Parts: sequence; C-alpha cells; structure tokens
Amino acid sequence: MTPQQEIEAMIARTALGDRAAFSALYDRTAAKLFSVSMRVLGETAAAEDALQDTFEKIWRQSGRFRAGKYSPMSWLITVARNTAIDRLRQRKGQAAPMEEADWVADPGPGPEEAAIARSEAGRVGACMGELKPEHRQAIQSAYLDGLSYAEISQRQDIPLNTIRTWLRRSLQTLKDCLSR
Amino acid sequence: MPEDDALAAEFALGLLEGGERAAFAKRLREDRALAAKVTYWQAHFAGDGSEIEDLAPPPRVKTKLMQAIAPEGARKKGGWLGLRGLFGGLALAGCVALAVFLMQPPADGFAPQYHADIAAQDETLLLTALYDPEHSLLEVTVDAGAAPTGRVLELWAIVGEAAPVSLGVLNADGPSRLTLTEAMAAGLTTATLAVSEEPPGGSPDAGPSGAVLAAGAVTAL
Repeated sequence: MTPQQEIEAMIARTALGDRAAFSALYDRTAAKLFSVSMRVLGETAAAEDALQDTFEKIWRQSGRFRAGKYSPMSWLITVARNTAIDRLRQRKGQAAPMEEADWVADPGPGPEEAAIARSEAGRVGACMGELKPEHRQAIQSAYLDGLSYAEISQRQDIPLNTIRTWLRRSLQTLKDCLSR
Repeated sequence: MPEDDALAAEFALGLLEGGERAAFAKRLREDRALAAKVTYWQAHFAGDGSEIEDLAPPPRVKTKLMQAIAPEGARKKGGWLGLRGLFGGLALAGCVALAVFLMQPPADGFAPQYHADIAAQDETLLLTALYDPEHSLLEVTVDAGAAPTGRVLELWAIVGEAAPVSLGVLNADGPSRLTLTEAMAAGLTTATLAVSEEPPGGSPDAGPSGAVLAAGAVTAL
C-alpha cells in the first residue's frame, strides 16, 4: 500500500467505528493538521481546541469521505483549515461558517485522471509563484486568515469590485498553470 | 473563467457571503459537477501536506479526543437516553414486537439466530438486521432515517479485511427480506454490515460508490 492508500484505509475503517484505526489516523496526521491550526489561529490553546474539533468531525463524518482524485491529506487539511477559520471568524464576531464546505464530495475518477490530479495538487506552490505578489497575498489572506473581500479591499486600499475582478483573474491564471 | 469555476473557488476560499453564498450552497447539494469544482479548488489550496511542516500537538489533545469519542460511559449513555427520548414509545414497541417475533417464528420458517444494529455515528440512521443462516435469509428494517432524496440504501457485508460484498438494495418502504447466495453468506456471522447511499438500482461499482452512512457488527442472538 502507498502512504495515501494507508491513510485512505484508516479513514475507511474509522467510518466503520474502528477506534484503533482512528487512533492510528490521528498519530499519522495530527502533526500536519496541528500545523495548519497553528498557522491560522496563531496561538496554542486555540489551535489545540480546533485540532480536537477537527478530529471529532473526522470521527463522526468520515463515512462521507470517498477516496478519489486527490490525496486524502488534502481532504483532512481542508477540514482542519475550515474548522480553524470558523473559530477565527467567531472570535471576530463574524458568522459565515466554512463547515458546510467540509464534506463536499467528488465523484471518483479513473486512475489516470487521479494521477494527473494528484501531481497537479503538488504544483500549486510553484503556480502561486507565477502570480503578482499582491494577488498571491490576497488569495493567501483569504485562505489562511479568513479575510473577506471587504477586508482585503481595506487592507490593500483597493476598491472592492476591483479586488474581486483581479482575484478572479488570478484564479484563472492559477488554473491554467495547474493544468499545463 | 466560467462563472461557476470562479464561484467554486470563492466558495472554497470562504469569499462568498450572504445571499450569494446561500444560493451557491443550495445548488451544491444537488449538482455533483459543481461539487467537483469546489473539491478541485479545496484540494489544490490544501495540497497533499508535503509542504506543511510537522508540528506535534501536546499529548493532552489526543487524551481528550479519545475520551470524547469513547464508547462506554457518559457520552454513549447520553446518546442512548437521548434516542429513547426521541423514539421512546417506538423503541419500546419495537422491543416487544421483537420478543414476540423471536418466540414465535413466522409461518415461512424465518428463524433468526444472529442480529446486527446498524447505526450511523450520529444515530440519524438506524437499522436492525436479523439473519437466519438455516434459510440464508436476512431481514433488514430501517428504524430511523432514510436515504437522501433520489438515492437508495444498499447493504454490504465486510468480512475481515476483504472488500465489501453487496447484499442488495433495501426497500424504501418497509422491511427488506434478502435471500443470500452462498458467496454472500460466507463469513456473515462474524461480518460487519454497512449501509451506503447509492443511485437508484444500487452502486454501479463493485464496492460502495456513495457515502457509507452506517455500520454494525453481526452478533449471535
């Protein structure tokens, strides 16, 4: 089994209520997911709480995960990121829960398509590097700091509509780069 | 970029707000192509973890986590009591019916010797399976919950580390009586039964194609 298949198998056993598999899944992935929580929340106590939340969600709802195109790590990281962003926004008194985006499922592809998708996912760092610095900054501050269009607009002192137009253009550039 | 691709990326980033966000989330529940677009962006933004440095959390997080999901003790009892609160009369009636049922095998000779409580983690879907190995008959009743709209429930047997074996699609209205082939019945008395949601007619694949919603171990009555 590849490391990806091992993690997929742990998630599948967790979905059947297997606590030993869930414990192994935690041991295998918690250091990555804690790193995500810390990056978003910036302080240990909040990040610890977010990590526990993240894994309780994984325990309860792992049956909704389906092995598919992408690395199972990307799914676990998405849950950790969304959980941390929700806490960050609650702290700011905002309520626009990311939680509902946790379990968006993707119909499974063929193995070839999966191999392409997985190699693409590894290239995102390089492709982000092709964007203009302020555009890259805007995408990162939405993803890692949970900033809204209005907040990005304030921070970069650029009109909101302009921000949205060029952020969308950056996403297109990113997508073109990823599928090259 | 096509509008839906842009919206999917904005949704994944958390940039959609208010009515626009609600409208998109509503479409997402029914449109699998749209869901695939969101997953695309989520997977790319998240990466595969190889660029993330490990940061070990303190051991207390795992201790608290494993307590929170522990099977015995306060949490599980609470769940059971909560369930009785909701389904109190129904569950009691079910127990009485089951007792009568066990004492007096029905005319067709169905005499279950094994059973399984098949439950979702959050108990939103509960099924009871009764198995009669003499007659290779399995009877499955949905006690709570249902398949999502436009989908059906499919029953699977998982024996050890082997791949799930389909036992059939369950009736939407009322108990399902499944006659098992020898291959289906092999190892069933020690199997885990699982239920997935599938397109009408059942999974197009060898294994579940939809989400696994509930599971439970087969035990002797």
